Amino acid sequence: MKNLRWFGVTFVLFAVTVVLAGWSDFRDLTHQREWKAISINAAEGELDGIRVGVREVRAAVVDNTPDRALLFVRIDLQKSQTNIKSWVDCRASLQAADGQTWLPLYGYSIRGAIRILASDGKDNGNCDPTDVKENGPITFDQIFRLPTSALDNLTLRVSGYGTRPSALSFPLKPDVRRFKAG
Amino acid sequence: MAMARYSLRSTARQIRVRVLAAIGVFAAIVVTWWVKVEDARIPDTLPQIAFGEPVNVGRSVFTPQYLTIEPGDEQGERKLVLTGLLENVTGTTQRAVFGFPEKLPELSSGGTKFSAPRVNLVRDNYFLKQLEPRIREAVSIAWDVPPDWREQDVSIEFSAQQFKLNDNLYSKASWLLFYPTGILRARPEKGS
Amino acid sequence: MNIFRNLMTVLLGSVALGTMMSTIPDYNSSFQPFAVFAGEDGIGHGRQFIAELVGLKRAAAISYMQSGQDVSRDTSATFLVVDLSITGRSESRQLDAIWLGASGRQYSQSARLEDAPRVLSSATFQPGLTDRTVAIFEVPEDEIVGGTLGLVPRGSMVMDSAVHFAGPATMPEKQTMLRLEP
Repeated sequence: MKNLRWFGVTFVLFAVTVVLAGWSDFRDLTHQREWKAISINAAEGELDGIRVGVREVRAAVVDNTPDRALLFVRIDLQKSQTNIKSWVDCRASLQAADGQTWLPLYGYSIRGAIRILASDGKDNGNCDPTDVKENGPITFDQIFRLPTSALDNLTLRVSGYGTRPSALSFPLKPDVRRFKAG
Repeated sequence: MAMARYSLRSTARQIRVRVLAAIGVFAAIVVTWWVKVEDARIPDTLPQIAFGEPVNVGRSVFTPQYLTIEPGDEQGERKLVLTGLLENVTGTTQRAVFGFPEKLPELSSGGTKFSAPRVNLVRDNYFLKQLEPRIREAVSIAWDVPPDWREQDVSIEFSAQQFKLNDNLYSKASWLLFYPTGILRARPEKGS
Repeated sequence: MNIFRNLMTVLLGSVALGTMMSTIPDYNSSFQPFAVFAGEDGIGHGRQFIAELVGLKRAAAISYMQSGQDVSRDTSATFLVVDLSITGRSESRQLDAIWLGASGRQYSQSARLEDAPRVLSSATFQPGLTDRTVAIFEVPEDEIVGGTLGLVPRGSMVMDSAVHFAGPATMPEKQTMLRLEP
């Protein structure tokens, strides 16, 4: 009976040690993963003081490679409260129902595709929450490359380092434009 | 503590043990002191490197071939260029050929301070990005020369980063502090 | 008898301790990625990608177009050009390739060719899409036969998996000049 009590104490202390030792690593993990996705059915949603609106979603498929598509997304960010918890950075990613995630394309050469797909032919740059203001929204453009078969069931997830594991999740219905090669 | 009667044999044994221990400690002190005295008595002289002789620079081995003064990129500028062969002697591709944080060869001449040199791969005429093991490449190390420097003898000091397969902290392979490995004294020639 | 038994205990203890100390894997050998070997068909299934080794070529010089200019790179050893077909899995990912030469030395991709078209160091692989890419190494001739190719996700922790592809049984053909097209 006495041994059992010692076992119990050991187990409790072991659990406490594991929690204390792994706490910082667990915090790091929560800043990477988007576990708590807040589903938004409207065009705008708010998270930790920034209002995110999805303005344009357009996909492009080139005739000679019909299995792959480029998806263009235009979002805007506006500060909705004065004292906000810092987002630090902004990650806009696409997610399919089975958990496959597509991150935006970076690189100088892909910005030309954004200018073609955007309604006004302009490229507003990658999502960045550092200069958001209260009086007006700031627009950002992102472009993704994904299989055409995945276009049917997509959600756009927007989150920042400071907001994760919470993220905003918008369902997307992109209109597909077909382009001829050459 | 009750005083027991000790036999003569046990006392002799105790004395013998203590004498041995004292001799051991004394020997350790003497050897350590002697090693330190020897280190101080024979100062380490840097080996003199001549053109064509290889010098260890830590992760690689450099063989200087010639030293020239060439005109710089802009009008009126000069640069001192040491050309030689560099070979990576580690087992992986090295991006930090001169160590990390890097310690490039140091140029000193006539009391003038020279800034850090640029290392170029002669084959591409572009800066050296990485060096593969077992592939010896011609590289040029170029220093910008201040306008008030007259042509005179220069000395270039090479250092190597010490490598330990099992370091004292994690017993993993790591590169530690730099130590000097050679000095090249030469007079630069006029280059093309 | 007592002394003998004590001495034997000490001796056996030190032998056991010595064996354990000399056979324990040190930091360098335990912190290696887990090896996943590709099948006979040349397809390797990593945790975050599926890769197929399409072919190996040797070249004495490589040329390609870069910012409108013809660029040519030569070498005193050989360029080993590895054609790969890679499908992303679960998340957008960049990969790194290492050639483990016959002598055991590790060769990374040649940084002199990092701006070449379709090269592995600048490619991002998306889930669901298969892309053809090229990994170029600069190696001495005798490191090719008997070497293996290793593919790892870029920026992954050391304890992730690495896909190993068996190297060529015979020396691949050598071309004097290989042209890389986008």
